[in-house]
Amino acid sequence: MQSLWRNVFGPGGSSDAEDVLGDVRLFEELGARERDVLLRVLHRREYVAGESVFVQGEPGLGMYVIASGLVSIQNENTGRELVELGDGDVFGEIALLNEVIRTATARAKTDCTLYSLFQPDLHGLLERNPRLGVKILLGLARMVGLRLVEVSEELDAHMRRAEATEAAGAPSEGHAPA
Amino acid sequence: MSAQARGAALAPAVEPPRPADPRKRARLQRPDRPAQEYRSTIRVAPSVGTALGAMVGLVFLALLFVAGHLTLLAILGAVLAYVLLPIVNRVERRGLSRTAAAAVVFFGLLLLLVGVTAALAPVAMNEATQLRVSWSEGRVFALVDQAERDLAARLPMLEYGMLDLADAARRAVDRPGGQILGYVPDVLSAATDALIVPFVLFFMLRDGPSLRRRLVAAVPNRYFEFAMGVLYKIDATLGGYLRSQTVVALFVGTLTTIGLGIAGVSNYAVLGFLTGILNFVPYVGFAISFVLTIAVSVATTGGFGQFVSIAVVFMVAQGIENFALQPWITGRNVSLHPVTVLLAIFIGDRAFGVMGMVLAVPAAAVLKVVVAETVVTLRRFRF
Repeated sequence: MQSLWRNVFGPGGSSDAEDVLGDVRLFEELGARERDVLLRVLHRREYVAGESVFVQGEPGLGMYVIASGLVSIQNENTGRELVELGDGDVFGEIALLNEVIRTATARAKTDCTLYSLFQPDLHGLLERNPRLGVKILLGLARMVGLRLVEVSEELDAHMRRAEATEAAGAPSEGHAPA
Repeated sequence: MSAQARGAALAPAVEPPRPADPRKRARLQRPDRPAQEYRSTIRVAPSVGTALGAMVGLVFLALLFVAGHLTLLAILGAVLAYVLLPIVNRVERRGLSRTAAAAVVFFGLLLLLVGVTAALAPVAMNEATQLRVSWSEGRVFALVDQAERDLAARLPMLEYGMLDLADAARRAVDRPGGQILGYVPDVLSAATDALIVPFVLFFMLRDGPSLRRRLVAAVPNRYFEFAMGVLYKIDATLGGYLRSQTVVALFVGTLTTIGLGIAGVSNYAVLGFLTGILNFVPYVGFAISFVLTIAVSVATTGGFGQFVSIAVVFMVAQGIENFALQPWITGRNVSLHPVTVLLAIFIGDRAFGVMGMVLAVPAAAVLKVVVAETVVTLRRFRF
């Protein structure tokens, strides 16, 4: 029955036994079985080099995990690359927690395999398997918190540098990020 | 600082701050890896999507025409699954596997149905048989005739024979479209076909979430996020609508059954059940079940003696529904224009008879939600 169902409704499903989430830091606290359960709510997507995963300005409600390949996060207007991400990296997690407009474009740099987790799927997981859901949320919270620390440090450094230039008498270049 | 932690859908809208530490910067931009030439962006022409959609629509229509009532039964199973999915989720939360949770809910529902049927069937069958016997003996028309005499005696402006109720009833029953009793054997013969309902129900309960995932797997990358957004909004709106309507129908059906039972109306169980089902059909459903109940009352008692109590039962049930239940579920409801509702009902009746009529309004709601959410989400994307 299972096989019939699978044959009718989809190619292969999630049964490829390889542990693609094993290398993802965000999910490092999950057991093998939990990763398997999680994998069943993730959407596996294949992208060709150059294809956009999401575009700046469009609404987003999901996060992506890179299983293989390189993804470039870039500004849609200037085309400037903000960051390049590789295997095991995660992007778009803010949209997972809060439906927001994408603030940058994500584009495949090489052929990529990505796994996406969407807000409603996370809610469903929280409802059906709260233990697992909480672990994922905790991982997300840690990640977001870590990044906040980094941004604060960078902001601090910028401020200090700006103060130093001002003290030296030079006119302020003046775009410390708000 | 890990690249992961740096991952950035929220990459700042302003230019990123230049890291103070040069090593950090090297890590960010990875100058050791030359930026690749991008291949031209692969896009699926929108016409392909349209063609696919049209094909799916055609296949669906073909199915409806080839095996209309079977498709309808499958849809019924799917709707039922939709209503019950939250319960399966709740059971699964207790630590059961998905299959076990689906089985628990499925057999629970089955047990409940068998229980209710076992409790009410003897009474209902007995009364239905009585009605049929009195029908075949022509007693029903005599009773209707007597009811008119009764009415004529009470209302001074009415004379016996003016309305000719018995003849009107005979004509109504003989007319091919109006054979309510004709549906009964139909339903019985369709019982084997109806096996498709539990089949669809069980697998939808078990595989519902993954089914949705497999559906979107076919969507091209460019439209993936859009499709997900639309699908989830449809899911939420539709789930709310179908679940709340089911709760309301259950409530109205139960209350009407109890009320009619107290009022002493014969066939109260069947009538209450029908009222609950017909409650899915706004405006018309209430009128049909009310008239039907009055008709049965007249046909069994030979008078309008129960008219007032029946009216009170229906008024109380509808009153509670309109003033207590509907406001409570309003936010999750799908509002359809009365004209849309009536059109849907007529089309459903033409195409599939009584069952089509009952499913017409939910189907119209489904269509409305699908179209509305697609349009709204489409506007937010820049295709």
